[in-house]
Amino acid sequence: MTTQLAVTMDELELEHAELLPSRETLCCVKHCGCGSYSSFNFTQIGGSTYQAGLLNVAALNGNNIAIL
Amino acid sequence: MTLFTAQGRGRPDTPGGPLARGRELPGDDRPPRLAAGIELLGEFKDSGFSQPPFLVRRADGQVIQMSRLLYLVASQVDGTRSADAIADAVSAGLGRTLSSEQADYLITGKLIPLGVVADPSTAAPPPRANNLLTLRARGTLLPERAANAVGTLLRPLFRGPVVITVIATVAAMDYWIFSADGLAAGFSQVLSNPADLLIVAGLLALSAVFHECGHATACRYGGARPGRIGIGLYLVWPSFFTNVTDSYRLGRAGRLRTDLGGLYFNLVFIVAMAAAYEASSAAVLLVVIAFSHLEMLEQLLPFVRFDGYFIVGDLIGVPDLFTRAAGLRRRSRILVTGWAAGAVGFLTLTLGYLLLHVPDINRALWHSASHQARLTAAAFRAGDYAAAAVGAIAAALAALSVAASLYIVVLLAQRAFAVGLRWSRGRPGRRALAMLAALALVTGLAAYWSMQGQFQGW
Repeated sequence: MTTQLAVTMDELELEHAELLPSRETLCCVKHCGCGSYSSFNFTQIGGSTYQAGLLNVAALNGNNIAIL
Repeated sequence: MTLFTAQGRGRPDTPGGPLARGRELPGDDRPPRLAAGIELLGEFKDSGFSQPPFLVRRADGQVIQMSRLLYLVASQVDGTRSADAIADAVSAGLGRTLSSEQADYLITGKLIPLGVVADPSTAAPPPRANNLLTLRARGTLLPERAANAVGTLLRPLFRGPVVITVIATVAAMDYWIFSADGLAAGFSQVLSNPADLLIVAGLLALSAVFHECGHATACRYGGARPGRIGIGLYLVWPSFFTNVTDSYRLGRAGRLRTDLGGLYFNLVFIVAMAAAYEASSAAVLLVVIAFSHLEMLEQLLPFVRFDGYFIVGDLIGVPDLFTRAAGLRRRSRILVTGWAAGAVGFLTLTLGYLLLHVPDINRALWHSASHQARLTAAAFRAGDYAAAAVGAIAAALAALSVAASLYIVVLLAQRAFAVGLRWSRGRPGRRALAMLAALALVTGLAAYWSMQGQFQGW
């Protein structure tokens, strides 16, 4: 005959369950942040190029505004 | 992540608990049964927890992570076993003795409120996780069945030789593109021809949808069922999404494949664009390829639920990096703490920059939007509809940027206000301190903006 250790109430109190967030992959047309970046957001201002985003890929024109 | 601890129904050894009040199982004396559609997924594989959690999926798709004992109890609930029989079976599986009152306690206090065990006494829907920064205004592009069909159809793309071929092709192609002059010519062409810009925009939108198909296909390849593919608003930005919640059931390799599936499909898309360029010599396609690379880099950001966030979480073995660190293995705890420090630093820098330059940023964006609106009107009057369309898109994106920055500032203010209220509830001294701090912050920001001349030039 085996004697099993009883589950204590303290152990029972520690039993927990959590609702997991749904896993949803995102692909923003334009990602958020303090600035913003769009792969296709060229905004021409008087011949110069304005781009908001992490990467200023519009360096071809010079005279750019880039916002992190 | 919403945490449930044993609560609400009274401990079996305390006055008012089930022992004192008799049985409290679902409203009558019938044996408890699982709620409709409950799926017991087993252990969360390759986890970073010292005690691996177990997973249960509800019919509404909500996945619940729970401790082994709760899972054992849930797995013994079949609509025929009484609390006594459940306790006996759990004790045998656990190697410890669980009393019927304790089993009753876990069922009534935990599993019923979570919607795992059916509760005939109420029709109220069970709770759902409150996702941080979730998408709003969702629409479906591909319903679940169609997403699974696409996933099944494209599964061969994940076979080893195909993957190696795609990666090698892109590597070779990148070397050629970025070492030749074709890219600069492509950019010049796009900047001088509005119609080309529309083509770039359309192909990049298509690339984004294909990216999501990559996640769905990888999820399917691993043996899980992807949910719908859709479009919604992330803060204010249009965003495509795929529900791959079912990938929780996969091992680390399967989850990582699902995380990387989108980026891999970006590579497949790039190969297709390169083939089209080879056939047509249209330099605009090189621009699409370049921007696809930038999109991939963006997706690797380990914050705000981009692909990089899921990759980091799965490498560590934690389903939600916003989780509490308790119960994690030492290595996982260090990595999660490191990630949290990085996330806090990133958010502090970006949000701090935003706060310090809100008027400046919005002035530039406003000028841009109004300038594009004028160009759009002029192009429309001149009958240049392609230029008008490009101008309209640019104006809309600039206006959205204005809305986004203001929306983020309002969210921050709301959150700070709520924290201040909670911190100072019932404490007049604290309340006065919080109000003074808020006043000082607003005054300081206004003074900084004014000294910087950020209110001028509108």
